[in-house]
Amino acid sequence: MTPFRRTIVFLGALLTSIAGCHFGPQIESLETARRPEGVKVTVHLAGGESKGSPPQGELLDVRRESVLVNIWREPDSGYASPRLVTMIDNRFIDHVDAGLFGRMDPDGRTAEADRARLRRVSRFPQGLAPDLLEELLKAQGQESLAILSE
Amino acid sequence: MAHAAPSILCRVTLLFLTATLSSCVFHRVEVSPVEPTDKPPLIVESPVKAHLIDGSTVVFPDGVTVLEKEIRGDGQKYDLTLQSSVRVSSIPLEDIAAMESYQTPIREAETVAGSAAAGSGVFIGGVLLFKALFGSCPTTYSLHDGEFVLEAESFSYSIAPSFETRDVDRLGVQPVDDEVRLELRNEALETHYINQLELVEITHQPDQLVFPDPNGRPIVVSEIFSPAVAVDNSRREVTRELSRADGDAWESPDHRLQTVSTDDFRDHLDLEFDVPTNVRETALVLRMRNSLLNTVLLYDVMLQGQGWRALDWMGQDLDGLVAKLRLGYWYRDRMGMSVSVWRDGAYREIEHLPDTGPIAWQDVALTVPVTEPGRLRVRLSFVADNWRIDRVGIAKPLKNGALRTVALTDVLARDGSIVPEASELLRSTDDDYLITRPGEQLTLRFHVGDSELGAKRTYFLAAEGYYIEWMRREWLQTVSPVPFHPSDDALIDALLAWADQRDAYRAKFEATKIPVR
Repeated sequence: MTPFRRTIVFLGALLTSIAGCHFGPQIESLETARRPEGVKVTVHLAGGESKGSPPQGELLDVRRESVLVNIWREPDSGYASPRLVTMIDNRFIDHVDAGLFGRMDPDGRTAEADRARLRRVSRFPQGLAPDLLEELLKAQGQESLAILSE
Repeated sequence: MAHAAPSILCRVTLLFLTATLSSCVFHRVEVSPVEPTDKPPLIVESPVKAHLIDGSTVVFPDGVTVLEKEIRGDGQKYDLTLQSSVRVSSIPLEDIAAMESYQTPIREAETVAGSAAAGSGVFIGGVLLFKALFGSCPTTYSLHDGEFVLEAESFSYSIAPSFETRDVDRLGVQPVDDEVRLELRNEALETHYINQLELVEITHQPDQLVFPDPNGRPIVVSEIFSPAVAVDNSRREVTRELSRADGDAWESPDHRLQTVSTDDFRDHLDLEFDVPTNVRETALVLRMRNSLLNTVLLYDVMLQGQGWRALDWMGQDLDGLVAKLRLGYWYRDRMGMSVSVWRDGAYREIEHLPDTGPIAWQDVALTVPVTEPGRLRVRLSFVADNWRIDRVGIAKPLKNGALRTVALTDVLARDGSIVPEASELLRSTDDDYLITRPGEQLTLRFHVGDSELGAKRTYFLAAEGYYIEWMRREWLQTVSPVPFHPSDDALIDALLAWADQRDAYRAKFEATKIPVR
């Protein structure tokens, strides 16, 4: 290696070390902070192993007794809308996984705090009022709110 | 020579990795609510989402300025269905239902772990400096004869996620039916994030005492001897005051507080002990707690002085390593307690103790060299009136007893039911925290088993976590908020504010505890 190349390699290493490295999400690269959608969640249902893939979608609202999720459907599912606004009662939820925003177990000791944290990253942290819900359902071509039960 | 090239390559690679790792930072995301307010201006520099009453969402990637009737920023407004969007530069406050800001506090423990391998610089900055920083904290009680007795306050000064630290406190509690039972309370206007709780058990002879050293390690000692003479900076002889652990503590006199200036704001105690002539090392034992000066510094100077700006300061500014180091170095130099020993014609510092908190008495021991035959002269120096010192003494350090850690057995809710999730959250240091809010309490049970026949056991509570101070309404009404910069002027502001109210402040502090029953 020539002295010039050695210098370049050394400077490269030096710059890299000065610049530092970052692990974990940073605001600059965090989509949720820069997009209007609520955070993506996976809802693990109680006894869910036997119920196929857990539903995934955009977290719309976190209520005391349930969560409201805009569930994504399979592209070839034949439905008019690729999304389905669905209410899932806490009784049927094992836990809600919101990735780096944590999880919420409705029966957990920290459920209240977890619920508050997830509500903040939902699309409607202020709560989705009935008239807005109606409007959203209409816009998605959905006749009524889907309610997921056992 | 055949092995020289790989060896050099390895060294260069190691050096490179070391340099690179030393600047690694680990992040996680926190989302904080931003309350629309009529108390302008609030500048939020992190990304903000505003949720409007009509169901639309406005994203401000570069933050916003909150004015009297509107928020301003470069935003993108999406309709209810997210199908279309338009650019906006302002939104009337009356249209907003909720707002959040997104921040990335550093995960200190991982940063330290990542950086410690590369050298001691960041490790010192990350842990030792920030052990002590302001405020209140989770309190722990034990039950004695039907009365709850305050045992400890944990991680008193960890005021932000990036200040998370491990704290070790000596407990007076003894097992009943092979079990140590403690009550953990949140008695302040704070949210506590508790990562881990465990007991450290030291088994020793019945006539021995055990105290944690400044790093939380146990020091076993024999009988404690009082100072022959103790004189404070104001020439008062205070030997008797410091000889017993009775809660009747020494404090700086009023006139010392009234005369502080940026050139002269320290106070000290000079202690003289008789020691056998052949002793070269002894243990200095202290029982003390902070005054509420620190609380005034945090509440009245740092937070209230910044008004709304304090939200960004706690959530964002302290996230930066440079800001943390600047604050940490300043704080370490000024606060805490310097312990010096007389040697070669002058007092020379041998230890700098961090602040321990203003609520519970803290026992600590440290080994000190005996530099004069038959005599030990010690000076304790600190910012005027930062400490309440109940007892000082020396004792012969002995061989350490058997030590073990005891994991939490279970956690009980107020109604006595077991909360398995809580004990899971508290058993190890990880990303999962038990979160408590004002007025909450939990009972902690540790199964410690039988003791050895004729032995005694002493317990330390090791706790790791942090807390977030709730911003009070009056703090947010500051007319001319200014950013906080660590300086002696700020310290003098706190000292003067403290001098005016110290007698009434503790009564007020005790009176404003949040009831848990």
